[in-house]
Amino acid sequence: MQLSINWLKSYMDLSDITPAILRDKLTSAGLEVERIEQGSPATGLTIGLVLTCNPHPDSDHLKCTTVDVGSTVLSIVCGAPNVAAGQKVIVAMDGAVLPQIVIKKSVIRGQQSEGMICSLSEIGVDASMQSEAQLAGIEVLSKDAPIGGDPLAFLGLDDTILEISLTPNRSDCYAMWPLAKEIGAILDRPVTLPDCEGAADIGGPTSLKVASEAKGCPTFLGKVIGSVTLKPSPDWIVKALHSYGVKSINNVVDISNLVMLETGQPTHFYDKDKIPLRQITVKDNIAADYTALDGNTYSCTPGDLMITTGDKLIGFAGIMGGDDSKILDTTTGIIIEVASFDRVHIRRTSRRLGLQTEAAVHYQRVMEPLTPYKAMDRCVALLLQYADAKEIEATAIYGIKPSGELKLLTDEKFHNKLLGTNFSLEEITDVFRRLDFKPVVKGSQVELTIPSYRSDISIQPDLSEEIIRLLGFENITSTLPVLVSKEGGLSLDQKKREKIKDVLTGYGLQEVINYSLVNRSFINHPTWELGEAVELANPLSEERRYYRTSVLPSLISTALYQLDHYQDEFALFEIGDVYYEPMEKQERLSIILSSNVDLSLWQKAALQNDFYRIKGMVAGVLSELGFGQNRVFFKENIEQSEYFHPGQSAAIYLDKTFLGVCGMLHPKLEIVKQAGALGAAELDLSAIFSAKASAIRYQPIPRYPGIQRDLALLIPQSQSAGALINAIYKTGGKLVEKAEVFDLYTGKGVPDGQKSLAIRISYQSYEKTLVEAEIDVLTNTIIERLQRDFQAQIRS
Amino acid sequence: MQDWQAFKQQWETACDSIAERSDLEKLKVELLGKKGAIAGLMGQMRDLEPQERAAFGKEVNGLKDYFTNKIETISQALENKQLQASLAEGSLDISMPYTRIPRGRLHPVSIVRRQLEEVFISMGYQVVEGPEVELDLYNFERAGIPADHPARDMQDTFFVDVQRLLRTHTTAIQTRVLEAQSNNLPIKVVCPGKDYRRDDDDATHSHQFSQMEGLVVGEGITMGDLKGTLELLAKRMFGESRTIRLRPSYFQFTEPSAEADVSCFACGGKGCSLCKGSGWIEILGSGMVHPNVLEMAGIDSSKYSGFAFGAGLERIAMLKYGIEDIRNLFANDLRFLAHFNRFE
Ligand SMILES: [Zn+2]
Repeated sequence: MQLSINWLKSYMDLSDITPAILRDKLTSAGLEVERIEQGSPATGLTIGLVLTCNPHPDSDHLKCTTVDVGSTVLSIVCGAPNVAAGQKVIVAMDGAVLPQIVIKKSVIRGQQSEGMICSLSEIGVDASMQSEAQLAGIEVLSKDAPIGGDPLAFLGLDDTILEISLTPNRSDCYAMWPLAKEIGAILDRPVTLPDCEGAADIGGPTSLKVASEAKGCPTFLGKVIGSVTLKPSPDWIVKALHSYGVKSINNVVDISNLVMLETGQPTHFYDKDKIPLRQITVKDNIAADYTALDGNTYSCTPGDLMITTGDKLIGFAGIMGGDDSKILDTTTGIIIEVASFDRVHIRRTSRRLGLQTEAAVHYQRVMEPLTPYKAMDRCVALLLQYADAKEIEATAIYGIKPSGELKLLTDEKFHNKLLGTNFSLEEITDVFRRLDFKPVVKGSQVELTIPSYRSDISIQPDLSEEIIRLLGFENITSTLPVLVSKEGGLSLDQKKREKIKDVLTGYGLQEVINYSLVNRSFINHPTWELGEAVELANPLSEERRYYRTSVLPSLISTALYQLDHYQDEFALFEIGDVYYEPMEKQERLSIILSSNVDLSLWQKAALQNDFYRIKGMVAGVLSELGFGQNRVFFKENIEQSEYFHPGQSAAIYLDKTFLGVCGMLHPKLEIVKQAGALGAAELDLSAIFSAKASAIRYQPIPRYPGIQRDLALLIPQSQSAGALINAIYKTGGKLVEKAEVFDLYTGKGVPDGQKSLAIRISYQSYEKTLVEAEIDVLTNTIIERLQRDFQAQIRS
Repeated sequence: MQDWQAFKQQWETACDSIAERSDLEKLKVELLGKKGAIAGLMGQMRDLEPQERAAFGKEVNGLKDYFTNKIETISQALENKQLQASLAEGSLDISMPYTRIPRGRLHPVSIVRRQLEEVFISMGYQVVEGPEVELDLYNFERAGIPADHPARDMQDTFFVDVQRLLRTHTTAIQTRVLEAQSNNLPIKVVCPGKDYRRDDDDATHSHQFSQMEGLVVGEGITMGDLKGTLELLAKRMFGESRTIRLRPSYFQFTEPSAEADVSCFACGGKGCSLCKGSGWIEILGSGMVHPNVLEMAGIDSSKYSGFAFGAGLERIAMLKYGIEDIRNLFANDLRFLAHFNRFE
């Protein structure tokens, strides 16, 4: 909302208040002032009368003028095409400072020039505020401009505008009158608004009939003003409109615009001769094409509120009137329309048509029910005063006039309890006096009459807010809640998530956060298939149409970003949600690792991120959460997703629950083509969180020496070392403390289709010293099992 | 008569000329060995008169002790010399680069979230999360924003269908908490999470962002409790000398509502570019929970009251670390992320 200080001054005394102080007071009371804007910054201007205007002897387009500026007569060379003797003009005197230039006496092509005759642009008026003629040349002031006077004051350009950001509950302040009342309450000083209540109650019998067949129009007032005189508006109206960026057209159109600025109520004036039927009906069941006042043709559909007369459409209600009934220079009488329209209807229609007119914007706010009546009073009063209104007919009314004012009973106790303050009944009563809530003390309580424009006030906490914003939050003493204590903290799942983050950052991984919304290509190939993606009905772009169904694709694009920016070493993880229809949610962890991470260039040391490293990270995370290798299984990745190398990836299981996939990315992926082999993983954290972790159980340190046996085996390529190790544990029983691979070799010396595997078995008893012979027997049993089940051959 | 003086002098000279351990060993044998010089002297004892033997033996033993000590001292000196030589040989150029220990870090938004969570957990708050694909019911209706409320325009929403949308604020978590705990008061929670709004991304807007909102509901909760809580938060997050200022505002969820500013931590309140000269930085929105919101959740608003507040995590991270463009927080450029690398 823009607030003209000059306009505000017509309602209240502001002589002791600077714009900066006003800004601070308004802001601390909840009307946040975002900006203070001065009209024209130019100095050294005066109003002059052009006495003579002759061609410049040495120029085709320059003119030599003499200008009376009151105190003296100046010679000025002027280049404007429209300058002429007899004009009142804006003169920038010697030393004047304009936005682009400082004026100095000079000689122009041999002729003395003691100042400059200015256009509006030259004194800093925005082009959008000017007509074609104004843009083309110097500004010609009206005849009544006082010679030697201040042109900025004369044009209303000496004004200061405050740009106020209003909260949605205070949409009443989008109009000058309620805003002035509000400022009066904040500053605690009287506000005098024009008194025109009842001005529309005049007029003889009317032939006009108004009605609404639509639910979205509760009130419709119509009034015939049989005769008006079109002429320029008085100066104060021109200035008032100007301060809101509205161009003056003529007195009648200006009055309609002014009343909207004053009351917040849009009005529409029709040329009365274009509505001979004298019948106006609001309908919402019409489908037709319609040419509006702007000359464009729009199609209306059922649901749009339309103004009709007989079978004829004459306007999109609350948005824009029709071309064929608008006020023209030939208009001699008008019909005033003041109505309330449902803001949802207006919003829907204006959005569809792409027509955000001033009226539509006003209608989309919460409006008080009495504004149509106030606006009609104001229109009539102004038309009588400035447009010679005659042949006035009584107001035709559709709808019931609302009673308007709400009564509330309150006391200081409620507010002190909610706010934590210590105000007296007198103090809060005084706040309500400032707000014009007409407080009447009744015993220990006070009765309030809430003005109709404060439709945001209906319950006690609304009053608490009025009290605290006008008396100041500094009256609140800081305390901390005193409550039955409850245990705070993270939930178990949240603690596990934080643990995972700490483990991974400890492994050297950087956390990233990507957008959850992705394009089609991200969801075409999820890491594993669960269902349809959640699709937005109103995406901003195709890039952000779906909620992601896996996190890995986002991480791959993050990795591609790093490559594009010459960062070819990375180790990243992201934790985030994925969604599937219908409303299935999983929390996921995804990891991506570049093939190498240099540790020391000169020592030629690097971390190699191969399959076994990503496998180790996954096992490490799970182990930290209490899932040891007896519960975690890496199995063949039968999902065969787009993302993973089929022979270098594994499906991960916790007991029998599928957790996700880890391994090397598929060589056909662009990222692998660019960056080489990359390790990656995606895990379902929700499944991990819901599994029960194994508890820590203490086992005494063995007191007896252990025995080790190394086996050198040849087994077929197709046999897995993991299964073989498991078989050793099973066969060896509790004496096998550990069985691990310490060498894997294929190639020279190993027959085709075979691999050489070296395994160390550590035997340990917690009860006695082991006997060699006993271990030899057990080892042989293990070997027999491996020969039988794994076609293993013992190498000597 | 034995010339003790000459014997000692002779071997003393031999000892002093030793430079290598092998020479020392050889000397040790020649002097102290079974067939060495000292042993030779001992052998002469047999030829002496019994009354002379005691004095002679005393002299020999004195020499033996003397040279045993001397050789040991020389041995240690040699060992020490050798050690010094090997240390000198093993000296490194310690100015060469160290072996990098890969370090991972949290994303700055996660860092800020953790810091805030820690502040509130220490005050006894639970941390509660909720779904990002949310029902209109919890995101709007229960937050006091019915259909066609103008406030819905302020938060342009990504819809999935008539009932479902992407959460526009973490208030949606609070309305769920209110419903779930209406029979288990008091409530004392913070609700962190991602939100989405239909905004074009630019330096200060992002269609995805994170918030943390807090909610306390119980008997006798006042706006003073809110103010005290926010003050504590400002001090813990931005330093002990911070103060806060409340300004009236409007949120559908609360009445009265207030915007909270924290005194500028860059200039201390004098005015600078960060606070745009005002000395204050807008940090969060807050207020007393609207009675209708309590009633919709089945909580008696005449008996219970509460406060709520909410802050944008990206905004706090940007203020704290001087990040000028919110898109930096989603680009995940490693050169950017590498800054957030230390204990605070
Ligand atoms: Zn500052």
